[in-house]
Amino acid sequence: MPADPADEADRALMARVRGGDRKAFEALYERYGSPVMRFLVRLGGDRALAEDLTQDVFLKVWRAAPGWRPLGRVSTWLFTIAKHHAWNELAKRRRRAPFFRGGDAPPGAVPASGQPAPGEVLARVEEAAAVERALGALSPRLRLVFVLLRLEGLDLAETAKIAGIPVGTVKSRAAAAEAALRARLGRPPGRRP
Amino acid sequence: MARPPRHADLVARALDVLPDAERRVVDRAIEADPSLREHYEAIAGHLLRYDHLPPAPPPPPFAHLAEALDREAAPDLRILRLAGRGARPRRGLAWAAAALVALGVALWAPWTSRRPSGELQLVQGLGLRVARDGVTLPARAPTVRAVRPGDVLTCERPAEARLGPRVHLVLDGGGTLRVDGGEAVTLLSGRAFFEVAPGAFRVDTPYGRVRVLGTAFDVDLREGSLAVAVAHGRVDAAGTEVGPGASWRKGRLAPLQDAPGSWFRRPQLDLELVDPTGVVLGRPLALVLAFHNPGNLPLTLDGPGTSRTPVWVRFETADGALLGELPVLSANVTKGLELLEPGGAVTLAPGARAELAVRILPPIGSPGAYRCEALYRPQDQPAVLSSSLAIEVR
Repeated sequence: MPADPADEADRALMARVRGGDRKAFEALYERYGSPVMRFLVRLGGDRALAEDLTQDVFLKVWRAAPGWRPLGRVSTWLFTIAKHHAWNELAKRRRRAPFFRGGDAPPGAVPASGQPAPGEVLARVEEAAAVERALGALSPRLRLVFVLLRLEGLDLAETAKIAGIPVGTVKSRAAAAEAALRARLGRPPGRRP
Repeated sequence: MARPPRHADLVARALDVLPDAERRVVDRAIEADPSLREHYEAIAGHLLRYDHLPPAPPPPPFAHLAEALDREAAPDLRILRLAGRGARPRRGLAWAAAALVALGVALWAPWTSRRPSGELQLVQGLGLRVARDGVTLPARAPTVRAVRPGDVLTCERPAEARLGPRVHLVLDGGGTLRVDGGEAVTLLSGRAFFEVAPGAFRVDTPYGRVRVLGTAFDVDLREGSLAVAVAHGRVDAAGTEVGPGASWRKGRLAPLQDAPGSWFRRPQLDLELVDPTGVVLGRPLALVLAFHNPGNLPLTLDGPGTSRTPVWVRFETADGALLGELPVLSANVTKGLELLEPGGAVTLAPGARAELAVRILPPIGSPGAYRCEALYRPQDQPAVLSSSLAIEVR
């Protein structure tokens, strides 16, 4: 398999981080801070909590860097740390009542470009809120797989590594998540039955 | 793939994560079977809905992370650093560090052979007294000294110290703490805050035992009872007040009894870390108050000495000036809790538990505007209710 140039660059960066290079660590944060933050927001649903977790995750990355070995993708390693940390934190907040507060869509939910009609803006915001609520209602296992595949755009193999499950299980969980979400959301607004 | 595509295959195809060979097989099946195509289109249409999710906020600036790394790099020198602030040439620091290492290597072997078994290093600030066999040892300036199991630490005002390599403690004024070893202490009176590196550690009290699994927490023996406040991590507590085997994460167990005035609360800032000169070194970012009604009768949470004191969170400066108050209860709470009046006292049903989390964003440390967020979640109810308050510190 040909080497992915982006992954090669990540490995080179990570090798410097392993040696204690703070500048390289900053570059790694610049590159992966946003994806990890987005992943944690989607996984936990709480933006303030996700900020804390993002910082914690990168602290863990810094601490674990001396033991890092270039055996897989850096992104897989980062997301795996993020997943473990997020699950631990969410478990502390009790599995039965995750801190998922879908529905508080930020101003960013409204596209800045163009000038849609107020009714359309409201519909989009409501749609985004409904989708977030539906995601929040998924079990953590299904949500993890769905977030990695659909929202982070990872492939089956990488998702399987991060989730720590076989590829076949990733597929079945993705299917279960999709079915649960579709059943919960119903048809998109404005669609005829 | 010899079998017809299943739902999982269609979802994987719509997510575009199938290997090429499988994708071709699924595509052919979809083209050949109208019902399968309809099913696939429903899935693909549904997945498009996630394109419109609001963007995630940006991550915290790297400067915040860098600060945390700097704090982590030299946590043990917090007290000693007070006297040595200021820029120094890096070369000088390197020479000094090398000299210290050499000195340490030279002294380590004979020192350890002289050291009595079980002796621990105590890096202490001002104000902490050490008594051995009933005799108070001579007071010293901020320094490193050896303590042994059985030594008793006391102080008149909050004092901070490091006990061995893993335990950072702040003993409140008037508190008494006995060192039982590197992994155990006994809080004889008052209150102490502990920050413990991962590993076994326990705090015994006359009213129960607190077992620690790598965390920051405090133990309070005021009013003849045991209360545990956890800043982060996990603490197991067992004793006459907390019941057998209670385990709390980020929680405080209030010693509730079916009698008026038995519940008490403590201002949030009690958890602050203060150095010997009075400089606040840190405050917890979050604190969760946890209540539990272990009895068979409904129990009303009231303030001490009054019948209907509102349950609120109060924010104060270090010198006690009021910053603001936040009524933390919402009228939407129904399960297990009965709200008597908005922002007021509540009743816990038998066996009910409730948690109340308060976050200060960012931690109050200097003049400026702050936002406080309270999150409230009754047991068995998935909804998290929140309320917020703007605080201005001048």
